[in-house]
Parts: sequence; C-alpha cells; structure tokens
Amino acid sequence: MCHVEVSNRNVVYRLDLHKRITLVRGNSGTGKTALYEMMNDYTDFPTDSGINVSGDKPCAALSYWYWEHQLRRLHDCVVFLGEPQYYMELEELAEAMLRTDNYYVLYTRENLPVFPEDDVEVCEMKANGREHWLTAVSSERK
Amino acid sequence: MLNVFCEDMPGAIFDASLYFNNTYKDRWITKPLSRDMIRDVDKSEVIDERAIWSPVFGYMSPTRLSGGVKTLILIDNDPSHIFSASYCGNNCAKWLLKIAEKKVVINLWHLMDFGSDEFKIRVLNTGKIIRNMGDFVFGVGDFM
Repeated sequence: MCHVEVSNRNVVYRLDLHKRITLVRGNSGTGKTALYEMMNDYTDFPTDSGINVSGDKPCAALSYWYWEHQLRRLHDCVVFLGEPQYYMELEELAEAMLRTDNYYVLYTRENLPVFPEDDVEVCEMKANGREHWLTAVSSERK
Repeated sequence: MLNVFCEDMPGAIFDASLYFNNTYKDRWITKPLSRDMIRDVDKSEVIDERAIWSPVFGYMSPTRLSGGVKTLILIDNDPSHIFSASYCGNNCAKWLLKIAEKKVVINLWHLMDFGSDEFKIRVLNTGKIIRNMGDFVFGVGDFM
C-alpha cells in the first residue's frame, strides 16, 4: 500500500493506494480534476506552487505530450494521469506504465482491459468539506 | 431527445473542461438551468457571471467548476459542437436528460447510469431508441 497527501489552502487529499493502478471514478464535483490540476502545478513548480505533497513516495503528474520522456525519469513514484481519456487509448503508454515500478492514479470512466486485473483497484473520490479521500468501489472494471 | 454515439467520433470535443475555460460565455452561467446544475452537482451558488460561491473554494471563477458541470453547460449552450460526456459522473445523467428536452447529441465512452425511471435515448451506433437502463446496458455494452 502507498499513502500520499496533497494539500493547499483550500483542500487536502489523503489517498491510500492499494494497487499499482488506481482508476478513480465517481460523481462530478468531488474534486478529481482539482487534484490533477494541483499535481500538474506541483510537477512543474514544486516549491513555487505552494502545494504540499507528502507520503510514502514522490508524486508527479503526467503530461499528455511528454509522457514518454517523463516515464523514463520517474521511478518508484505516484504518477497522476489527467481526465482527457483519449490518451488512455494509447497502448504504448499502458505498456510503458507496466514496465515501471510506479503507482498510477488515473481518472477514467472507461474500462482499461490492458491492465492486469490484479494490478487494478477502482475507487471513487469522496469529499467532506476540504477533506478528500478514495473509497474502493469494486474489483470489477465495469 | 438525447442521442448518444458510443465510439470514436472525429471532431467531438473530448476535453470539455479545457474547451469550456476558453470559450464559455458569461450569459451561460446565469441561466436558470446552469444555476440549477451548478447548485445540484457542485453544491455551489452562482453570484453573477464571473463569481460562484463554492463551499470548498469560496468565491471562484466559473473555470473552477467541475468538469461534469462544464460539460453540461457546453452541451446546453453550444449546439455547434459535439462533446464527450466522459467528465460527467452519474450525478450528471438527470441533467443530460433535462437538457435533451431539445435535440442533443453527445459522445459517450462509459456506461452512464441514467437511473430507474423511463427515459428516451437514441443510440446512434444502431439507430435504436432505448427507454430504460436495462435496455441501455444491453444496447450499448458492445461499444464500451
């Protein structure tokens, strides 16, 4: 298991990741995009962003255009992938992810059979005020 | 009626959140339907065209709305484009049906739960009209 916390003045995310691939789904308005945007800012400007990241592993957001370059440099990290799911169709990205030792947090409502079932946990983002956390919903992909 | 196409759709806008940030019109935000959707999905109140009160973020710009609400507002107000509903959680489904009291076409990549009530959705992949969730699962499952 891997635990990470991401916070700024408005929100705090306490995430327990039980498997290498966490697919985050759930209702709109629960803060999924806000977390990815925070991680994106933190990845670009770790200090200047003012975003606090702590936990068992370093964290980074993967960008659409430079994922290949990024993945070559990210080891034993928690890597966040954004919601524009079209790049999840890229089989080469999935294969590259599986070759690494990173944990991945993906926002997608699609089924991604390219990942082995044993490596995947499907979660929902829950929120209560500024507190956010993940709850496992099912081991099923659908 | 809500028309859904459940496969790759060239020209459809997938990242509706990004598109919204750079294209939305102030007047869209204060429409009664937008106010209702923002209140229901994001638990936030529209103050005026440029300000929304969120219990989490305080006063914020419409660009900080959830991806789901942004997608709903675009579908309601920009008929010149087709948007993917991939940002939309199940709590957006009733609003999609509400917007679709006029003709609406969306691109759908996931099995959205439209609830237990009867509805009317045309699956453009097959041309069939579907009226309940059981038939919807059966009707679009092969495309998901």
